Amino acid sequence: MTKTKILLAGILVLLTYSCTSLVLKPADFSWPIESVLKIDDNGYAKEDRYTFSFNIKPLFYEEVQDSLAYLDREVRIIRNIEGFYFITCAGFKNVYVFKSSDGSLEMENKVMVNEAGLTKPVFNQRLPLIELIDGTDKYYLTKKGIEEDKK
Amino acid sequence: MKNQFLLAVLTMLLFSICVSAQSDYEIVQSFKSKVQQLEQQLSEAASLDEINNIARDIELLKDQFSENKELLDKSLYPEDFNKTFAKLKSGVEVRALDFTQIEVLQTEVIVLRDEVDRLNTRNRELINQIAVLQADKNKDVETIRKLESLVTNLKASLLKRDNLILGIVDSLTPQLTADVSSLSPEDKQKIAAQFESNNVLNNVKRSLRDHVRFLDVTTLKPNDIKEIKKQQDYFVSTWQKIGVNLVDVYADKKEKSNELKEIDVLFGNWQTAIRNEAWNSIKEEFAINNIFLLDFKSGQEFTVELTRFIDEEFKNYSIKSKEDSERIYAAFVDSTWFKSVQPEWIPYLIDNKMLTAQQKSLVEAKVTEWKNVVFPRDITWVYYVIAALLLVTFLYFLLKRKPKTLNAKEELKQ
Repeated sequence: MTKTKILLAGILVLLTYSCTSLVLKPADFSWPIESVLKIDDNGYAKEDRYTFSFNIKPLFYEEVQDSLAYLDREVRIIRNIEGFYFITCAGFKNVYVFKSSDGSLEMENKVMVNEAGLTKPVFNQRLPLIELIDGTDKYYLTKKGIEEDKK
Repeated sequence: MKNQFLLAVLTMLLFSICVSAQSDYEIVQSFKSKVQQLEQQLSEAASLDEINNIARDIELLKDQFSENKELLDKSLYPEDFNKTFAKLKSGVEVRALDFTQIEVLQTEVIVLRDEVDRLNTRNRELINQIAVLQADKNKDVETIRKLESLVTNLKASLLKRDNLILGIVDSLTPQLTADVSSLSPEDKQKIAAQFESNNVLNNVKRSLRDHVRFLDVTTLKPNDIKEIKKQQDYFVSTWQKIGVNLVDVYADKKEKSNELKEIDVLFGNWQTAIRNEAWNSIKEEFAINNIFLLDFKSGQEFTVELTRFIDEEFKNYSIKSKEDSERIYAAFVDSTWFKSVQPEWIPYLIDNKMLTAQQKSLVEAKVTEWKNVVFPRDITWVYYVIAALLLVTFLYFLLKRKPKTLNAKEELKQ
């Protein structure tokens, strides 16, 4: 019986070892500066340098409950070292944190920054954090939210 | 100066705003926009001074943004901070070289223009001196020698001036090498002003007139004319290249367009003068030997005139003394036709399609015919030969008959 247990445990160890996925690390996904993207008439924001685009309409619906509010607007986007995208726009109360998924951007977090809405938000890359400046206010963000002690 | 100061203040203000806002994106955008602005200024710079000012602004920009070098290195993909400035500096060097070359060429043009003015005066004097000597009917050896020397000097001087004029044109043509029709009216005006300040059109016209006058007052040999023709071909081809563009430059200036048309006419005159010079020089060759022919300006007229002169001599043969006829024949045929016209001028005329082989044969046949009239063939010797042959035949038969007579006598004895 003991022999059987040892054999099973051995097989389990071997199986676990062979199923371990390959990990390349460390990896740095951070963008040196934010991108300011003009939204096209179809509600798409296109990033030329990193060559990707996404449909922004659901984000505006989420923020202002108006999926047409994107017209003639610019969104600011930056990616942190872990690869999460931080997106906001003038007039937004929140910064949205996304991660890339299968052919989509999936919301990781929604960070409330200013109840009155941001007036002129800009992102800066301040490794390992993302700096958000709005006028004289500064916020330091992670995927989890505002780093209060840095504020 | 005031504007530059204002620009510098605004730049500093904008820069300080960017720094205070601490938006990396704005810093990068501001940097990109300034680089673009400097590139634009570089391409529009109109003098070496402007280029030097831009070079200083580039250094200033580099200092202003050096503390953001790391950010710019990451953000200016595919370039970086140093590459951007290297590119700007290389642009400065290229444009500075353009202006340095233009300044060198402009200095060169001033030197060439002075030299052309000096040669204009000298050539006028030489042409006048040649005309005076040429008009002297009783030229002695010393006069002829002096004349030849003057002609040689003038020829060299004309060539030198042509080359100087073309040198001026060459120095001004970098601006004419581009597609002139696409230039703005201001640029065309600038080119026209440079051509006018260097008196190019007037110098070309004067040169062409002097060439025609030179041909008028001189009598040349085929080799001289060949040389002048070569010079003309070079002048024409060089002028044609820029002439087309100048028509565009002067399209709105009727007076200058007319001057260009005048130059075309003068080139035509020069070409005609070269052709006429050959005919006049041939006529002069005959005149030196006291054979005075009527004017001829083409192969047809040349053939007709020579044939007419010889036919005239045929008619006068019985009227004139034999000595006179022989003297004129010798002067025409031996001293002129066979001595210089046939060996020197006829190949030139045929090469330049001024005379056909058929016309040449016609004149040669006429000359031969003339010879037969003036010096008829003496055939007395033929009679002597016939007489001698008859005598030999007679003697032969005579000698052959003698032995037969002897044999007959012997037969009678027997």
